[in-house]
Amino acid sequence: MKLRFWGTRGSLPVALTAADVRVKLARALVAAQGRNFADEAHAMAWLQADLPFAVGGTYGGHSSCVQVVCPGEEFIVCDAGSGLRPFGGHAMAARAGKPGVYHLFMSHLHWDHIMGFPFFTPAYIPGNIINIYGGHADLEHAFRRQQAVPSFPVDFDLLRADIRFHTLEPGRDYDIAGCRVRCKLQMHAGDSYGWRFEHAGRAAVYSTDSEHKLEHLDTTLSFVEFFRDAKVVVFDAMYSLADAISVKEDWGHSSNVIGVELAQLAGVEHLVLFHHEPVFGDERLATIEAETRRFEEITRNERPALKISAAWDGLEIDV
Amino acid sequence: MPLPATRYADVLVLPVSGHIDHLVSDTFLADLMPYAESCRSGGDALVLDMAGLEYISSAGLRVLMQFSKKVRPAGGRVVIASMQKMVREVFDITKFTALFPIYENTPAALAALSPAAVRAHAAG
Repeated sequence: MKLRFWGTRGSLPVALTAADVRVKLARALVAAQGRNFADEAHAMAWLQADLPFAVGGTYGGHSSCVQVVCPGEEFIVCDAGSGLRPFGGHAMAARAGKPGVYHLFMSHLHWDHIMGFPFFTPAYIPGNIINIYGGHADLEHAFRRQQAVPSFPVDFDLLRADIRFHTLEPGRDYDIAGCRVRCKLQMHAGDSYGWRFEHAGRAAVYSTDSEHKLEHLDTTLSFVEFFRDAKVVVFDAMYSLADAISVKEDWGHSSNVIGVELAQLAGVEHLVLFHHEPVFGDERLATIEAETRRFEEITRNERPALKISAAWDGLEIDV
Repeated sequence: MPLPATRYADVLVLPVSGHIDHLVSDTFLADLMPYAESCRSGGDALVLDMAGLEYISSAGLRVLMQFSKKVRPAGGRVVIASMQKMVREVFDITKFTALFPIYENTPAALAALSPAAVRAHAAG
């Protein structure tokens, strides 16, 4: 199993500006002083190996969309944020013109998590089957509404794929596309659901738009169980802890520190910080990633090291 | 059981010690809350002396936030002193350093809060 990140930004897609690109180029040129590169491939190799990611790359700007790659021909995706558009292009190229079966698991129905669907090309092509799963009873209504007049020029009824909606029950195991899948209710305005995928004895958890208020020990421990022994947990780390429990309390998001603590208690191997605050630039996100690694280090005690990554559009992680 | 406090004039110094995580945060809250009523404008200021605190988790930090939210509207002042290096690092990473005044040690905290408390501390 593998996770492929197509959209990692929270709340609103963002894009690098010309000024952002120039800053990166200037820093790269300064860092490269005195070096000669035979060709672009050599320059690219140096860039990837030696430059900090915040200089040589970017955490990306699409809103939530994460592919769960399992053996088999069917596609599994979490959330339909703007990252669903490039995923759709990738999937169609992989199918080489043949119809495909898609399984889309929704954390919730807020705009940043559904906005990619009207731009998901496979939805327009007859023969494709798209299953949309969620814990919400009004799944279909949300998808139809965003394509209704005056919000979008192409009504949902004009989509030619066979689109089916499935409301699933939290805490119950389902076998879908070769994976065992379970969802868990999370705290977020209008509710959200985390998803746990298990295949061949390995588990990955996608848990975004989830506030952890730390008020009740039972609630905390229920998330520890949901994350238990997962190889990878994708975690909503939008705010600092101080913000999450003070000025942004009840905004429905969590912090890097709570992610580390839950992952440590659950015996997780790899924690992926996700749903990045849209006002944060690459340097800030790199700092958060470094601070989170340090927090894990100083709180590790006798536990095995927990790997920490900040997600970026294009990241792939083996599960 | 309330934390044992030492009074220096209009300042109470409360020692916070041990390992505060999700398992004991409710107890920590119960121990701290008895001091909320007198921590107000014209009442007592509080110094949380963390010299003996080895670890505090997000659940423990949430207790500090709850206490602060309760006393600040009434003009209550809460400061922190004598943090160990690791706890200070946790405060830095969680951005709690922006939420509480932090002092090197209790005498420095008293100096920032009340001349009367400084005199009382010097008098032993």
